[in-house]
Amino acid sequence: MLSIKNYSKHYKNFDIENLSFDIPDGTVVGLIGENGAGKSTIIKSILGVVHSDSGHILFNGTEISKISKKERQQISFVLDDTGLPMELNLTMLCNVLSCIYDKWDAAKFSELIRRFSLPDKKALKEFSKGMKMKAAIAVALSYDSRLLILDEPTSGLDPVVRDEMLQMIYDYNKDGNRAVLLSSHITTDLEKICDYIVYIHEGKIIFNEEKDELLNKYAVYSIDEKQLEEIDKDALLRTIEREYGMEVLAKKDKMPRDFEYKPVTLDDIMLFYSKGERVC
Amino acid sequence: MLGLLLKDIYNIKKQAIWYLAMIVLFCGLSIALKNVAFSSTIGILITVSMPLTAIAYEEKDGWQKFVIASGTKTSAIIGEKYLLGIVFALISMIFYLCTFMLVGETENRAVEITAPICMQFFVLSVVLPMVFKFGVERGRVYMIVAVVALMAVLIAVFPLLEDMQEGGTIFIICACVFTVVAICVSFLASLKIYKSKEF
Repeated sequence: MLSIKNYSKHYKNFDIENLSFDIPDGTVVGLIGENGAGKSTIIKSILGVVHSDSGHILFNGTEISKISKKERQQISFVLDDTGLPMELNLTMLCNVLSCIYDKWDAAKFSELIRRFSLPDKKALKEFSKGMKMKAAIAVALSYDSRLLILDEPTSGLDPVVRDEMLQMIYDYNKDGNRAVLLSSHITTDLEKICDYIVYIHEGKIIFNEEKDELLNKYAVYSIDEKQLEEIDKDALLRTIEREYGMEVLAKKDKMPRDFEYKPVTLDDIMLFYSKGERVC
Repeated sequence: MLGLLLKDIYNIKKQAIWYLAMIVLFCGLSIALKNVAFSSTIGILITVSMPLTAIAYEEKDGWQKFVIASGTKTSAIIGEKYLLGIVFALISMIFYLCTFMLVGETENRAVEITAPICMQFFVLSVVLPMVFKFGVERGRVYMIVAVVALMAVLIAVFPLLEDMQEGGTIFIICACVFTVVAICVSFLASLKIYKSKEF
C-alpha cells in the first residue's frame, strides 16, 4: 500500500536519516517514539504537508508527490489538532467537504455522527477534545479511502472514547484491503490493535517488527552484577541501573532459562532505548 | 474551490456583517462630508481584511494541513483567497460608485472612480503574497504599512486626478492594465510561496 524508502529530512537541530518501512495491505502499523522523534514529520510528508529532502514515499507504487487528486483522496487522515474549521458545525462541515472530496458520502457521515452522538448544530470549537477527535474520525471514514493515517488520535482521551476509536480502526481494516498507520504515545492502544511496530528514536528506525514476535522475542530481567557476568552479551540490548540492582532488556532465547523475567511492553522498549545504556 | 469559498463564508460571516456595516457607515460619512475618500479607503481596508481574516482562522485551526492533505490543488487554495478579496472589492466598489454618484461634483469622474478601485486590487496583490510568506500575524503589520502608504499616495494623487482633463483615458487604461498585471504577478508569486511552504 505505502512504502517509505531511504526517507531523509534535515532541520536545524534535528535530522531524520534514511528511514525505510512499509505499510502492507490489510495491516495496522504502529509508529512509536518519544516526542520529537520524527513521527509527525513522517506523517506530514506522507500527507504532502512537509517535503522530504531525499528518498521516496510510494503509494501503490507511485511517488506520493506525483499522485493525482483522486489517488490522494484514497488516503484519509486524522491529525493531532484535527485541522477542521472550528467555527463550523457538522452540517456546515458536511456541505464544505462534499465540495472538496470527490467521493464524499454524506449519508455515512450523518450515520457516524449519530453513532458518535455528536451534535450537528453546535460549532466544533464548543466540542470537547474527545468529540473533536470523533468528528475528525467521522470525516476520515466518510470518503472511500484505502489508507487511514492517524497522528496521536487517542492522546488526551478517556479510556471509553479510546476504546471506541480503536474499534473504529479495527472495523475500517477488517476487510483486509485497507491499511492503517497509527502514531501514538499510548502504547497499550498499539499493543491491542497493531500488526507491526516501527520504533523511531532520534530520527532513526530502531526496529520495524511484527508486534507479536517483538513482544515474544524480548523480556525484562532484574539482575545483579554477578549475573550480568554470566550472560551472553549478544542477548543484552539495553540496561538501566536501579537502586535495587539492574534491569536489562534482553533477547529471551539467548538468556539463561532459570532467570526470571517479566514480559516486555512497548513502553518498556521505548524506556530502555531512550534511558538505557548499551552493553559493551 | 467552491468548498473552500463556502468554508470561508461560514467562517467569516460575522465579521463580514460588521465590515458591511462599516462600508455603509463610511459611505454615509462620505455623503455627509461630501468627500469620497472615506468610502474609497474603507474599500481598500475591507478588500484585504476579509482574506486575511479567513487565513487567520485557517492558521488557528491548522486547516492548511488538512486542505493540502485532501489533494486540493495549490492554485485552488491560493485562487480562492484572491477570489474572496475580489468579491469584497466588488461589493465595496458598488458602494463607492453609489457614493460617488451622490457626492462627485468634478468633471473628470472616470479617473476619480478608477483610481481608488484599482488601488483596492493593487493593495490586495501586494498584501496576499506577504501573508502567505510570513503568516497573518507578521503579514498584518506589513498590510497596515502597505495600506497606509498607498492611502497616502491616493490622498496625495486625488487632487491631481481632479485636475486631470487631458490624458484621462490613457491614465484609466494604464491603471487597469497595471492592476491586472499586478494581480497576475501576485497570484504567481503566492503560488510559488505556498508550494514551497511546509505546515
